[in-house]
Amino acid sequence: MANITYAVIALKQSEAAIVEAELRKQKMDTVADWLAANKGTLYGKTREDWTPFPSDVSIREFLKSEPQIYRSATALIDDEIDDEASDVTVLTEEEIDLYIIDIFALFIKKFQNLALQMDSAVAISQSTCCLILPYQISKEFQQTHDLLIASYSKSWKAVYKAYSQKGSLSRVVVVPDDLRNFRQYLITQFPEEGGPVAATLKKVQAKFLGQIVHTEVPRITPG
Amino acid sequence: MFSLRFWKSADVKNHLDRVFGLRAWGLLLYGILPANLALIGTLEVKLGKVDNLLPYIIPVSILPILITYLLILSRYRSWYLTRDFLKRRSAITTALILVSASLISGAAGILQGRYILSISNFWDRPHFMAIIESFLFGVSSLVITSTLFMSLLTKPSELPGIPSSKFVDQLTELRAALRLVQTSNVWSWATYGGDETKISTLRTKLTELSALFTKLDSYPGDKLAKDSLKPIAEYTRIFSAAISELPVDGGVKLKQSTWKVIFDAPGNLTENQSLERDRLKDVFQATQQIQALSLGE
Repeated sequence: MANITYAVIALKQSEAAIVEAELRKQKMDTVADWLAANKGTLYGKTREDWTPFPSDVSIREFLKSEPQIYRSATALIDDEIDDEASDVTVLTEEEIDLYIIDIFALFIKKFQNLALQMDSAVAISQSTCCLILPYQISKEFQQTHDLLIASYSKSWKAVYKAYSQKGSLSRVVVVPDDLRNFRQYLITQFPEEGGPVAATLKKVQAKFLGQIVHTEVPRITPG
Repeated sequence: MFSLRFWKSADVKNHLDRVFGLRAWGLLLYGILPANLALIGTLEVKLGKVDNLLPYIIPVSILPILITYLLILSRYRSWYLTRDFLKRRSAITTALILVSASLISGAAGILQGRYILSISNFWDRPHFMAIIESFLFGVSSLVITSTLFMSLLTKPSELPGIPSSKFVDQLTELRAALRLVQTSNVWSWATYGGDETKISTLRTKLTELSALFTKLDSYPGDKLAKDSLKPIAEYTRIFSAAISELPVDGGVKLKQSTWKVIFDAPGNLTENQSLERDRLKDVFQATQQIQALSLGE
């Protein structure tokens, strides 16, 4: 199985105080207070020591699998990219498949510069970004979220288990952008009828399977 | 993913085995066997006849001792994976055989009435001559011992108390594979340079090594010898995991960064690489152990 190369764009413990000050400067005191209270457990010496959700495991542990599929390229962010992010060719050459982004890292100048340099390249490439926004930032939201998700997981036990443990596609949408993203994602998975990719697929299917499996985006029809 | 396990009690046994050759206790038995001829009176040394030649006989007696030592050394070389303690172990075994043979001769002399043991006059001339006689007997029995070793132990044999020939064959295979690992291009960035073709043989060899360790471990008998391989099997497993961390494809920078964390000297690392090294110190230790294995030519 091919490896998935990833890079973690997260804070180190030594950078948390800078972000806290920046948040206060931008009048986000509640978030700054939350960061101040949790920075000791959230961050470590290296970027991969980052614990995205308090009282959980580090991102390094999150990405462990047997056999090990995920391969870290985070070292390049520290060793090869300067504060101005003047040369990011090393990241494009490595063809990083996944950028895992800590929301607080966006308040660091280096990562703002890196985003400016990499934005277009990542958007048109096969790379994927995963922004992590810990829902515990707001206590009220956390409580509401936990209650509602508990209802969902109670009704759709197997589906929720498949989603949370087996990687089955069953997206939890929190904001409208999540839903739009999911809509477009599904379209990319089911190519348009008559398009060049679909034509090739049809030929392959006809040769090996004898019949066409999918012809259009699946729709939910009223019973 | 990476972890080092230590075998505390096994460490002591392993060390004793490496110093005293415990896995080949039969060697001592076969070495002393010819000395038993003294007990039945077949072999006898009468020092009275050669009393004047003592200054010449003693140095000449070194020769059978040396031959026995070299034969034991050659056997131990193939019965142990590494050359650690090889000379010391061979010398200890040779000395034990010689002392035991001399003691048997002395005891035979007492039993047959040739010697009378008196503790109060232990250091007088007759006692000294009896000790020399027994020593010379021990040496002369080594001539037979070395002949026995030449005929039996220099060829693969299935004798009790010494490692089986099948095990020794597999150990030889293991040694050769580990030698290839030690001479791989991966140890220096100058020879590796992030070029996958330079380490593809190493990747294959490490897979074979893992299978070899499993095969050796499943082999019946030779428990002490198998136990001594466990730390090396663990180092090899960690080393293999470290090699699998080196990307097969992609750019050179990531390969170099990963390589530096696993192999480079501490002084050449950046701050982040040093932190990664701290996290992976078991891996670095395992690579150092593999490189330091004294496998001989």
